[in-house]
Amino acid sequence: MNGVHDMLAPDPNSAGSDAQPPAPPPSSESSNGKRRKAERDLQQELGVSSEVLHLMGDIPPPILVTSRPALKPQIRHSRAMKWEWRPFTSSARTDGLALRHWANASENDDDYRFSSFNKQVDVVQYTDDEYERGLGRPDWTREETDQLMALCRQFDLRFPVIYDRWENVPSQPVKDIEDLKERYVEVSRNVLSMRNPLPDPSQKAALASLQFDKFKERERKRHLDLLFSRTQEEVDEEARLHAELLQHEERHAKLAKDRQEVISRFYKGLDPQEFANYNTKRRMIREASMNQAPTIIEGVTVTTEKLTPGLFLRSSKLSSVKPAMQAKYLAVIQELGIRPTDRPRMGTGAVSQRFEELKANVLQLLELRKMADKIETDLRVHSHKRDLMVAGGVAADAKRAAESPAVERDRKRVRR
Amino acid sequence: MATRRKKGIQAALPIVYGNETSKLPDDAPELQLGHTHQWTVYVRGPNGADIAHYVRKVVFRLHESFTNAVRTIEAPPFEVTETGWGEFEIVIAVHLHDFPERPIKLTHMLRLFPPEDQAVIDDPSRPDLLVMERYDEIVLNEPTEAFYDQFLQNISKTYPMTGPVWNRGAEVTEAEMLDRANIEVLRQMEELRRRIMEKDQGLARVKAELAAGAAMQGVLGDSAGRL
Repeated sequence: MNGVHDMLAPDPNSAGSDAQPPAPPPSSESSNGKRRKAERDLQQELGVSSEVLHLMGDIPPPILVTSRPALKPQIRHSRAMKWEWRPFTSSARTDGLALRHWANASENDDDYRFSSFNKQVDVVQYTDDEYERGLGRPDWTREETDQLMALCRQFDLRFPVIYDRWENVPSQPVKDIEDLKERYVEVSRNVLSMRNPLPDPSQKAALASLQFDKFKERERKRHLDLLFSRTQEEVDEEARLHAELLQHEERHAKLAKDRQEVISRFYKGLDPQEFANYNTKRRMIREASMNQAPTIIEGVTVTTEKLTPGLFLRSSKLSSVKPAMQAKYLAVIQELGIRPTDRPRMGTGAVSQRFEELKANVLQLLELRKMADKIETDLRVHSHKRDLMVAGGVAADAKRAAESPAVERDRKRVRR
Repeated sequence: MATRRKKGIQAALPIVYGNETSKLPDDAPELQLGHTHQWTVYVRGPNGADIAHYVRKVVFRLHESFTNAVRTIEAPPFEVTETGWGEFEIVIAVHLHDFPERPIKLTHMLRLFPPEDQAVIDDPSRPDLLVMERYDEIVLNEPTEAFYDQFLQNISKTYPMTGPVWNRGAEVTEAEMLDRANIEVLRQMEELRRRIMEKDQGLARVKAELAAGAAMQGVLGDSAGRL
């Protein structure tokens, strides 16, 4: 009861020497003046209001960062500048027109500031003599060639524009953009080689770069058009066919590899001597006589092969046939007149050995049969495709004859 | 060391195992229990050969419905005779004298009725007897000197291969049959191999033709629009 009261308002007279009178609250009266001055100093240093200072406490913040604005350098001239209205010439102009502009009085009177940007493409300029000598061509007149070179110069070899500006001469064959490019390249190359008949390697390289295959370009553009104009279905179909093709190739490669492996493996066993060895009685006697022991002991085999010491039941060591192959294997065995069982009737060493040999041979035979079937179907499929192609080729030739003669002429030229 | 091994030597101990069975006579008391046959499952040497000099014991594990289903026989004849009505699999473990830790495991399907898929040989002297017997061999790779010596001593006992069923003649006949089959298989393989080579060459030719044709078409562009 008294405890609560003690807690709320401790009684100085309560029992115990520990009970001290509560310490007086830190009065501000005594050190007031000092504090006020310190506060004012801090306030002035930081440049903040008194409320903020009270929030902070007396401890100034550890780092005080103020950002300085990045202002333009203030250039201050002592006196005003003089500007004058001045005519100028540009080396980029060909007509010598002198325009006028405001220029600083101290500025020099040299070439116009932007004339260095007037880059031109080095289009060759041939003389009449050079043209006579080696630039002539039946389907291009001199005027046409000149016009072309002028356009190239004017438009910096931007052929779409040049082609657009091109005017076909009525008496001459129509030129399309590839023809123009080809003619330009031809002229440049011929002029350069005429002027410099013995080029050094770097020049030779530059010369070699002046090639343009008109037909290839046409084809390329046609292919791009086809590619661009495919429908979504066609795109999907192509992706699917491509994946299928990859699978086929993989399978084919694997098959070829297996084929090679089996063929090479078999060629080892094709010794005619082996056939002679199949005379049974002679073989058994020979086997027995290969024993090192002087007498032939029944039931004892002497081999030089590595033998792991051990005890086992002979029939337990027979190799097994995979269940998938089991039926086929037994069928073949039966064909050969052997009882279709998985172990021999009288499984002695000699008999078991032959049994295993037969098993291995039959399995290999089955594999060979499978391979023969595969290659036969392969051959049939490919022959069929070849026949189709031959037939299609005949039809394609006939169709092509009906197309425009110019294109046909080109095609025939390439074929030869 | 006393147990030196004979390198390169493989010794084979022939055994026959299986069961004989005959129908119970009409006056047999076991008929009351529903049994129909008397049968004996056994492990013997072929043609009565003695196997006791290397077989220590044979353990027959019968169907659990038999009392004391595990029968251990430690002296010849290594066989168990019982009566019953059912056919079941019997697991047999043959323990040799020199290899106490490694018994040879055999399984035999007890037969009371002749199976359809096998030819039945009738012995006129015992018309009611059905015998289902298998031939097998226990093989020892690199036996110890001691074992080998004993084996050689007992060879005449081990190999009386002159009985009616299991004899040298039968072995040679089977070996000859297998040899003939092997020759035939090799011949067929050779034929197939030749055929495969031919077809392979033909295929290569056709493929070359296809490739040449496709190359031509690729340059010109097929009129049907195929690339």
